Amino acid sequence: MRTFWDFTKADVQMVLRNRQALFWTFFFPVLLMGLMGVVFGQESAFTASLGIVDEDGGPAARQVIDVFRHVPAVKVAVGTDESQMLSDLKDGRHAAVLVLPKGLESQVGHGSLSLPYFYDNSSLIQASGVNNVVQQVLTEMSYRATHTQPVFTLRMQGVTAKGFNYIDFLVPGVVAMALMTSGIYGVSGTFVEYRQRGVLRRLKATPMPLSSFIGARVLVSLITALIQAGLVIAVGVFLFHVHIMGGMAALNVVLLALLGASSFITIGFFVAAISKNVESAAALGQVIGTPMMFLSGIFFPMDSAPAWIQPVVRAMPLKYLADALRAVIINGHGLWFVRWDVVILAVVAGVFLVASVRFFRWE
Amino acid sequence: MRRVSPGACREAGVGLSAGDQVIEVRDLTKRYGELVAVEAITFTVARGEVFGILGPNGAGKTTTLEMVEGLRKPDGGTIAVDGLPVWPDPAPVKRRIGVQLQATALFEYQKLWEIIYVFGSSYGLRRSRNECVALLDRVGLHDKADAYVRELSGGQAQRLSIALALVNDPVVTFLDEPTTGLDPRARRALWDVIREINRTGTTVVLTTHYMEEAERLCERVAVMDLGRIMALDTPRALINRLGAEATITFTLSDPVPLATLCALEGATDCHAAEEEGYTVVATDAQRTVVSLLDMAARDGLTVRNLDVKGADLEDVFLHMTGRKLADDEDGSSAGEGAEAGRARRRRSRFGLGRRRA
Repeated sequence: MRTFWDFTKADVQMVLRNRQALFWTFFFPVLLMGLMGVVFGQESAFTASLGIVDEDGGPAARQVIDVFRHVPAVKVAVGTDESQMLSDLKDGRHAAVLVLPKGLESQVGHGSLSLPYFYDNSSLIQASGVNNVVQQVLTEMSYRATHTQPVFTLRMQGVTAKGFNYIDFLVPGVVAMALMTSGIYGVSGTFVEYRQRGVLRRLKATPMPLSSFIGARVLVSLITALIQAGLVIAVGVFLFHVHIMGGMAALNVVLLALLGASSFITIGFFVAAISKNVESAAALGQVIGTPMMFLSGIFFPMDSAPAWIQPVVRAMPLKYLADALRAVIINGHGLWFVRWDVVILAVVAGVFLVASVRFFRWE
Repeated sequence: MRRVSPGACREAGVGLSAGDQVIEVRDLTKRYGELVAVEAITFTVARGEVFGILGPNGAGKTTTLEMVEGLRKPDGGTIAVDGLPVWPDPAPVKRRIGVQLQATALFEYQKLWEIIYVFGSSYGLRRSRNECVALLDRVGLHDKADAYVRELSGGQAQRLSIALALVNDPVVTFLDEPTTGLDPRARRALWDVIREINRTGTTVVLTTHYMEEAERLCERVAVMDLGRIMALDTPRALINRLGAEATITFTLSDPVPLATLCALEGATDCHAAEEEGYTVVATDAQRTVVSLLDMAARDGLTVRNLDVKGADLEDVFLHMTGRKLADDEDGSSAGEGAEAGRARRRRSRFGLGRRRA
């Protein structure tokens, strides 16, 4: 046990002294999140410009415009020239354009009315945000017009106030990403290097069981994972005012971070076991890590991605970690709510643990 | 060059009977598929001696060492170290031995004394910083205690790995090609370190493909080739077995017929080369040289560049195998074992060139 702690201490020293790796491990996720947050998210809620073409000019149209003016998530620009509005949309001045056609006034109350609506699909986040807002507002107005229950008003307020805050979406994603990268790259790189340079063989010549050495390494990786998660969340809360839900969230985040880190550490060990040298380990790590980073809904929701890619998305272990962290951190759900994500991550950890042991080599 | 005798070690307080064998190897065999890397070798190492295994790359030296160290499982035969069988469970033996492997790099971002400390810890030992520095002092690295591995020269890195082979105060320490890749000066300095280790009572087993190293350092040498021990004796006895032939080379102011040289007293062979002059092989160098000088004086010739080279382990190896010890670079020599290819690959992976002795 003493040996285990001595090696743990040595590993901690090595992590702290390797300044470059330290930067990538701890500050890069924070930096990345800051960058993404500043570029794509506003400090408070998401706002987007909505162009409304008022061809009708009647009181019903004005009422619609008025309602949109009171929605905090959109900034309304009103015009009468549809082609002018659409060219503004193409120039990126508006996120979407809603047309209130001539004769709107006379048609209200006579069955369902379809309104031309254009949005900029080159900006997925904005588009999905604005589309949701417009949809919600129109639904709400329909309910009012037909005098249905006012309960739905409350629901609409809830949706517009939450859910379009990009940073809320981003923080759990970056936590998941950081756990993945340090798990896969950190472990596979060092371990292959130890094998390639004969360190493992030299350790084999001592009476110490290898489990002490690997155990120390894993413990340090797990501690690193928790610090990474804590750092990203802290920056999210203090700099970007991320709303963390529920008091249990902190404990749940710790448990999920440990589980997620374990899954990716075992993947890292697997990569190390089957790679001949540091270069091939790095390449294999990239092959596994890069698609995962972009197809797991870390930076952008994958719901709006094409249908054919959805099976690929569902095959990414990182997606389940990101989903679970999001549910826990932002929505305040308990672990039972994310049980399937937990099960999948545990299965991933188990499978890769067995595979790593099976393919392990001393030299 | 001072050589430490086994007797001197015993006087230094090892206090063991002369017949005490610290390593006993019997019929040790290792196969890689069809190829036999080590073939039924038997030898013993006496407590307190410096024992050398000499042979070219691929002879099976490293494989032999690794089996004795408990790193590689033999296919046949028995090994006992300090009276304990190495296999099937090598752990008790690992506690008693020190190991230096070929081309081991160590932890980056750990200071030298910290590396000594964690390796000590892997033997269940808790050394103070001072004890770690004292061990570094034994290999001449006391001023590098706070340095990192990347700051070391090749020779210093080898010293560190030797220090690690001493970290558990081993009964016997194994050094696998400790001076390979070092320049001659660093090599000689390392010899002094190895002698010093032996002087304090540790048995040293080393492999080398430098015959000079075996000759200068080892009390007994096992000459290995193609997985077998060709001969095992003191370096002197091995050389004497050749019939103590010496090679005399020289140039003459005027050419003479080769027959004249072959007629010199005690000459067993003679040949002439255009640039290098003449070579005469003799069993008794002194008689032959005197005879050569007499002949030169009689015929009014001047002898220049006279050089007499005694037989050495290189000649022993050449005599036994028909191959030169350090000249296996072409890799095409008959019967080169599996290990040779493996060793070469391993070496090139670490970027170490092979150097001639």
